[in-house]
Amino acid sequence: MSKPRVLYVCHGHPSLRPGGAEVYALELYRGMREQGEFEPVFLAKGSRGSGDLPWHPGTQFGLVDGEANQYLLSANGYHFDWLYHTITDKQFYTRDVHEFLLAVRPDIVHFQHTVYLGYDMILQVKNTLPEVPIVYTLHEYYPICRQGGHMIRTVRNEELCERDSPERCHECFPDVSPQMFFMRKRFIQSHLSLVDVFLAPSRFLRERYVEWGIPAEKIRFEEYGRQPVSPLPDDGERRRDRFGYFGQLASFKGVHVLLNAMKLLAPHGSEATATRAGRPSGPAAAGDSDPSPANQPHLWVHGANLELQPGSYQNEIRSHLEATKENVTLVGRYVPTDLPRLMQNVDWVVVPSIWWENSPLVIQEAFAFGRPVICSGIGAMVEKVSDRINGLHFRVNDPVDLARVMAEAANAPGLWEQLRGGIPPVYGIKDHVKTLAGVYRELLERKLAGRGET
Amino acid sequence: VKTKKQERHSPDGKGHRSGIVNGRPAHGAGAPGRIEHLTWLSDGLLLVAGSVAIGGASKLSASVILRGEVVGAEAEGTFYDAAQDRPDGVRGALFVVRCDSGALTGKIPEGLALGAGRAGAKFGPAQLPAKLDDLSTLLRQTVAPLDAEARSRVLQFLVSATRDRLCGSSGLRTSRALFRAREALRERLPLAEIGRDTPLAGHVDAFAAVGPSSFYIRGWLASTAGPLTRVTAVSPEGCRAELLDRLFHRHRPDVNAFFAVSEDGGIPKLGFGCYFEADAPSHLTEGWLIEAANACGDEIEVVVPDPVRDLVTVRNTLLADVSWDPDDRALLVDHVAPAVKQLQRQRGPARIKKVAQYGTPPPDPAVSIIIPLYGRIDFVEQQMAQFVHDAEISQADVVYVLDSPELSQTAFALAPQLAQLYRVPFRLAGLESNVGYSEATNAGASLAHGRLLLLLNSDILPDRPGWLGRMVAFHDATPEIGALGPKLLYEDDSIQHAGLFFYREAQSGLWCNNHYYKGLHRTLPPANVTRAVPGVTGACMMISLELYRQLGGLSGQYVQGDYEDSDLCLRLAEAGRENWYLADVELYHLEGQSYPSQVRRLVAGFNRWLQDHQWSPFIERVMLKYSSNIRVVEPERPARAKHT
Repeated sequence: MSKPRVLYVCHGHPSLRPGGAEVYALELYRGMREQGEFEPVFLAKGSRGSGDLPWHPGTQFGLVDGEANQYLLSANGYHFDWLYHTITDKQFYTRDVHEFLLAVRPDIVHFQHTVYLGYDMILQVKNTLPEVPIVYTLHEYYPICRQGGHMIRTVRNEELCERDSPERCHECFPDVSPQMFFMRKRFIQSHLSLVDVFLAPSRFLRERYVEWGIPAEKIRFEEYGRQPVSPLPDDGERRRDRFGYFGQLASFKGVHVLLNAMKLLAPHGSEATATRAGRPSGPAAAGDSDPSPANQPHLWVHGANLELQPGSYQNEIRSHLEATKENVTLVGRYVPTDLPRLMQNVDWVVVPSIWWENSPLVIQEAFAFGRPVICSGIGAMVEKVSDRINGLHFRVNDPVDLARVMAEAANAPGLWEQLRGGIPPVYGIKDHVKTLAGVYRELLERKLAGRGET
Repeated sequence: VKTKKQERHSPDGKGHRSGIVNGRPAHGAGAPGRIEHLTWLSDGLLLVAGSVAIGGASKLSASVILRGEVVGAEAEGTFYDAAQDRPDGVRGALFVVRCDSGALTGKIPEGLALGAGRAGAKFGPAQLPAKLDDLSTLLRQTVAPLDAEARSRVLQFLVSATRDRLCGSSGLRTSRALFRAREALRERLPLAEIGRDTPLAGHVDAFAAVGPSSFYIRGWLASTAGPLTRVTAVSPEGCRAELLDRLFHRHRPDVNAFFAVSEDGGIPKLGFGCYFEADAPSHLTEGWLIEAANACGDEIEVVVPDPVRDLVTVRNTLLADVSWDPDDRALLVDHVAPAVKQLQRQRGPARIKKVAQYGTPPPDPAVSIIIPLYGRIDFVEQQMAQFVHDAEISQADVVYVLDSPELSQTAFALAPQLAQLYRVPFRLAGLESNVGYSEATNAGASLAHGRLLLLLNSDILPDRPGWLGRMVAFHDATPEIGALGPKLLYEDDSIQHAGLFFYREAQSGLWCNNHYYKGLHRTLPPANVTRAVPGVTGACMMISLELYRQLGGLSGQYVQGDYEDSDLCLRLAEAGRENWYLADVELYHLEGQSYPSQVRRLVAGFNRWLQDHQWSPFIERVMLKYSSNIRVVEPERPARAKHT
């Protein structure tokens, strides 16, 4: 008897676009293949070149390095609607996706993402393969929020958004009427209602979706699993004043907050102000340190894509980098294999995101390499990093508070070692795969039982 | 009247009782006179000038020989010069010859017979010119030298004799010929100049073609030298319409201020608005004039702007002129309302160009869901995304009616894709032209297969499945039911509709439509009571097809999707039916997304007046019957005091 087949659908392939979710999805596919119980197939949205070109004339499909079970799906000639997340010409679903599903005949379809592909693809799975269970991993808040799924409002100084409503969403996007936002939600929920099990990588994110309208019993909390890494060599006793940032240079990631904090910590800047500001609420250790120039905290920024940000943000970041030349080094783009070396160079990993976050992969990475994390005290970040157990929290979007916390981290003797000791074991991909295989098995059994009843 | 008309065609003023001048018998030796000029005005329309002994205003039977073929025709003639002392009675005359066929237009006639028997005359090649003239040559050599009054009579004759040919396919060519004649013959008056010292001035602000021969004009005329004695609209074809007695006069404070005029009786109303019907259709854009004269003998002509012909723009122009000042009511009643009525008639009835079936139609549907589409078709996808989860919809007969022909290609391309993805069977009917909400709905109803109709707007999304079956069950269980409507909600869960009632607006005194509990929360207890109501909205209305047909469907006299529903409910009530509100069925109505609110206000104002105009006493009776329903809206202060 052949193995049941599980189809992973993803919005991109790491070979074309190395985003966190794409990298994770491919790792999951490989882990599932290794585990051996299921035969995984990976289908990612991907076109040739930047012009959304097809791989061959007359088909939307292409291969990845000649592999048998990995496919790329181009949407050449199709238009993706960013409000509803749908491809407007339904032939994409009723012909291209339909034919693929019939050819591959998966027993389970596990959506990793539907951006660029459209929520309608879920309906097409139900149409073509009515009995096949559908799993959907919720990576961020796209269904809830038009603003890149970040739930950061465009109004009131980019305040964090607690919940959607037609009127609130219209405030963020004055060109889209409240009625359109109502229709958008109904449209997305119509398609998501066909999903059997949702997976949420954080309890916080799960809660948000339950509030939004997905039945609680349908969403399970399941952390992303990571490939194991070799532990870094112990570099002995020393000051722990090296900080690292890993991620895109984007506004919602809060890079500007971190650079502002570094300005306050600069040797000739207003470090004194920062510590003064920090003292009332900070622990006594912060003020006791010797602020000699030789012992200044330093930040290494690892990341790219600044050129993709709005011009005003690029200028802001550039001017911050100029002003913090002495204590900030822009390292630039990195690939996952660089990580051991880069992590070795830092003591702390800072996650200054100004959005709720889903389950930041960078926290898992930091923990895997034994680096305590300093993060904004909100959302999924506080769920993953416990204050004063394995990291430190600061007030979101508050450079002064971040500077205070960083000063403390750099100067408080023994703190780093203490927090490093509190880092939990990282959830491995093997355990994750085992859990997911259990979910798939359960769904297939449920399907068989359902068929038996009728 | 007839005598008068005939007199106008006899320059000698004596008139000809028979309309036909004594002539020599047609069968005599040679014809009485000869034909000197011939020209084709348009297809099958010949203008003839000659010196003949027959003529007059009456219609004569006629025939023309063209290429050896006898073409039947009728003719109408007029003498243009005074009777001379010739014993044979021969005089200069013009004839318009209307051939039965336009096939040989442009050919040179080889023979012409005007009239029959003793009163007729026949002209052979010897009495006919060998070539055709052009129109201006013919006019220059015959009637152009006449005095102004005679030329004016000739123009009136031309337009009256060619009136039939201003309709139909050759109408535009006829119009152009008449315009050339008018320009060659008309007496030009001084052009209106706007200056403080001019004794007579005027301006036309708006001019709209309501129908082929109906027009609406708005402007002002200021005479500082005695009252106006004549205001005449002249079409490019030369058709004249006397407006002075018809004009609706209204205040134009800006014009008053400029001319600093006042009267003993107060401030004169210098502005005017007027809907008028011309005697003949007009097709041309340029050339309309207003001629005006006052008691002191001042005369002017005012250039009229090109008529607006786009029906929606015309309608909005008309509605924008309605002021709700009671003093201006006559403008509405005598001018705007008849014009709008004419416009509405222009649009209908709907002609279905194409009906496409998508998916397998349900075998025996109980309900036909009729959904008109106007301006936007993206709602179809949104409805499909909801209908897909409701098996009852796939058992119903869903009919979309596209009332935006310009979107036809897009809609018929999108529909099969949506049908394939969502697998909800439906039909799409495309209309030939935009006819408006009521006619589109009626067209959809004419396609219905179900015994019940559900009129549904495209911007309605059900809250949850099962709503249609509940409506059917309630409808069938309620004797003498008229229309049935559910609760409709806005996107923020406030009530849009929980039944419809009428209230008398304080300012205008008109009965207006309103929805119970509009804007309040969907859980409001009184909104959750199923009950009989004065009416329900057409946005989601169930009614038996038979009853709908008996009443003739939605009325076409209201403008653009407003008040047709309450009008139907009133007709149902008049027929002894009861309209019901069903509280436990809830749908969302995302109303008014793309409709400019300014236009909406104009349209609603007109419709409200029209409904009130037709139904006021009956609405009063209906509201008396349902007054207990109003009391829920208004606090019962005195009643409560009495009870305690």
